[in-house]
Amino acid sequence: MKKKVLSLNAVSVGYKTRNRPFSKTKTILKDISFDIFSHETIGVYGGNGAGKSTLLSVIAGVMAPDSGQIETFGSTIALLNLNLGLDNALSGKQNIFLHGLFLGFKPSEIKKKIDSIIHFSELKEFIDEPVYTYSSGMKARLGFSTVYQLNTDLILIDEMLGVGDQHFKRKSNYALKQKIKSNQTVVLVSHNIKQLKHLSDRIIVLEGGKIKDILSAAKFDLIPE
Amino acid sequence: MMLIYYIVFSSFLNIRTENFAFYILVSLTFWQWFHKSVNSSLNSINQSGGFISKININKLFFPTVAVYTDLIKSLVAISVLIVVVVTLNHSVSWQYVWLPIVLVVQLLFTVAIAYFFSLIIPFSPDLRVLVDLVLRGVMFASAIFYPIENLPEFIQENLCYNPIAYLLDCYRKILIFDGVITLRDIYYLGLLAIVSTAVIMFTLLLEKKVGNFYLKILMK
Repeated sequence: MKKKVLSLNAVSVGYKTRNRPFSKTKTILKDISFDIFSHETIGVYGGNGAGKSTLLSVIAGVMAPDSGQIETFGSTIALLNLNLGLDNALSGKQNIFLHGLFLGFKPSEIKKKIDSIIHFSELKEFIDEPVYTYSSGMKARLGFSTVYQLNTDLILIDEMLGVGDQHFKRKSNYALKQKIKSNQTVVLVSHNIKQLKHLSDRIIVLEGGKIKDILSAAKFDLIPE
Repeated sequence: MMLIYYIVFSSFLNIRTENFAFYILVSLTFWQWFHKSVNSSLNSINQSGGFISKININKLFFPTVAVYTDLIKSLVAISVLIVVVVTLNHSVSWQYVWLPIVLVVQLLFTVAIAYFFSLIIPFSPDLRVLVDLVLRGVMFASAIFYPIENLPEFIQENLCYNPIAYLLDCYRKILIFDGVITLRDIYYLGLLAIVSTAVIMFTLLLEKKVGNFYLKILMK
């Protein structure tokens, strides 16, 4: 049997519409249950406001569910989204270290990877400069390369299959697709159904915060393009 | 800055005590340490949305960074202060052994305040204005710019209710021979350390409870 990487059990998340004691609660996710097994790629599909990004936040552990449980089985999880999580005052290199430590890697492990991260980001000349001197594209490259090269058990990708300028976008897009096709466990969120069908083993269709369907590869044709 | 305070309070307001320059210098240095640490940690969680939305991390990390940064900066200022005070006084008293202890107690107190308010402020950002006001009030009530003898006797006796004033008084006793550290002071410092540690423990537990709600609040 395949090893479980993560398991969600009846997870619900709601927001209070206002920061007051008796204000209404708006439900974002309702009764979400599914398991993620190692080496598989799960696509999450849904319109705007279906709860895709919130679902990733919950899986990443940065947001606690209001009810239900998440079991991570000790897996390390990295979230790739437009939010970079860099400290502007630190240099590029220090940021790589910081991010690695946050993700639970040991300094020795990061040291081993650091050259390949710098090489992949193509930021060698700037890596010792503080990050506030970087352009937004350079920051995106740094964030992407760090998460890409450090091998976490699970990668969560939020609508971001490539960053930076045209050259780097193509390169990161290609690299990520290779990674998805390899043994990496991935949860992939996208509007682009064609891409999802191409890359995923299973697709979860979210609608209004609920799981409408979990489709295996054979039933992908049920989703209209 | 120190010079301005000195001129205003000594010449214009006619406050004269012996060693008044030292008095202000010592009080201000340690007050600034506390004030800067608390101030920079208040918004530390609010400003770390980028990290919070990406990585599951103990939220007290952010005020810790703020306090630590100001600790290093202030230790430099304090070292300079000690050198100045020792050179101008031409002597070192055995009372200096108390200095590290008082410093640790102040650090504990600072961390307790910083942790507590940095956890609470994201829930109600307006609270920050209130904390600023209270800090200002504490500053004027802590006998930084005027000799403690100017305070009414009632307040002098109850100084222990204002930990900052008490700590500053200890520093002055140690550094400019404004008295000796008594058994009562030791008892009080110990009490302050214990209360501060209890508050820190409480904030650690509080973080476990509410730590994962910050993303929701910050996204609003």
